Amino acid sequence: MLTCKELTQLHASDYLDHELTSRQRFGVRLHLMLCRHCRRFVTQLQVVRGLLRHSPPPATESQVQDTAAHLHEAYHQQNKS
Amino acid sequence: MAVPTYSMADVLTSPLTDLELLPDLLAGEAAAFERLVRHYHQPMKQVAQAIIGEAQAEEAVQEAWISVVRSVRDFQGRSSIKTWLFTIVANEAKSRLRKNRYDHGAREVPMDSQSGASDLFDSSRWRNDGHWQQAPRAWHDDSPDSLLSHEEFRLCLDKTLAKLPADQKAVLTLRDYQGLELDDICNILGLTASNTRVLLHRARLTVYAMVEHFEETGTC
Repeated sequence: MLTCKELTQLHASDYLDHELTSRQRFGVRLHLMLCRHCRRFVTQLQVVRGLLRHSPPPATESQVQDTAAHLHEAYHQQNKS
Repeated sequence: MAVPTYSMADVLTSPLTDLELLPDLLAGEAAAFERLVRHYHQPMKQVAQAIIGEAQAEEAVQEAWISVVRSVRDFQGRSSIKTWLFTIVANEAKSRLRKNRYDHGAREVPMDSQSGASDLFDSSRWRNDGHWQQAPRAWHDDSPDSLLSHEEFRLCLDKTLAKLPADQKAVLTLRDYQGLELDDICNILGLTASNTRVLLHRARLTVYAMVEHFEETGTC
């Protein structure tokens, strides 16, 4: 039987990402059925995963404008020649 | 039927679809280049950092953008635009790495050297039989939206992400923010599948530990 430590250290992300073999997945599901602490942990890890979907890494506005302007110009130059 | 209206901010930050972006790019529209750079410059830089390190990452991304301009007309849609962009920047970074004589093909990241999930796995957290000694507590904010509604929390999240080792940050960005498949991430970063999965889990656990601490103390 899987321990809580094994589940949190080794299997939790793979479980959420559907990367476990069917046998491993069965073991995790059995454990989660019996362990409310690990159920809470997996639910919270899902929240963590969701945080990143909402948090785009910041890009400097001036860098975006400069880079985009250069690319735009280069694209037109290239297509002229 | 009412026609939906969008502000400029909506247009500039909404998710990109290849179908709407590609024709505008090929037509050479300035707004299309701006959207491309706004959405992908930083994630591309994180990919480059993971491969070649902070010092040369920006140069690798700039070089990659030049390749994008040269080859966008040949883009055939066999992958999504973002997978194509990440592959270009990863190839550029790997090429620089080879010039620096450090390339070893599919990289095995030495896991011992990677900072892990803070104190989540301290021995005090576990009983000898591997079950919880100190189980996770319920969080007041139990959704991403609710957590991100706190300014202080957003700052903590930014700090935590900034401190992640480059490999972990790149894998986390590509998977949880960009939504790429693990196979694509392995190919882009030149990592083995098992490495990629371990890096992803460690990164998430580090963020988990920060959230748990924030829930208890209201600080990072």
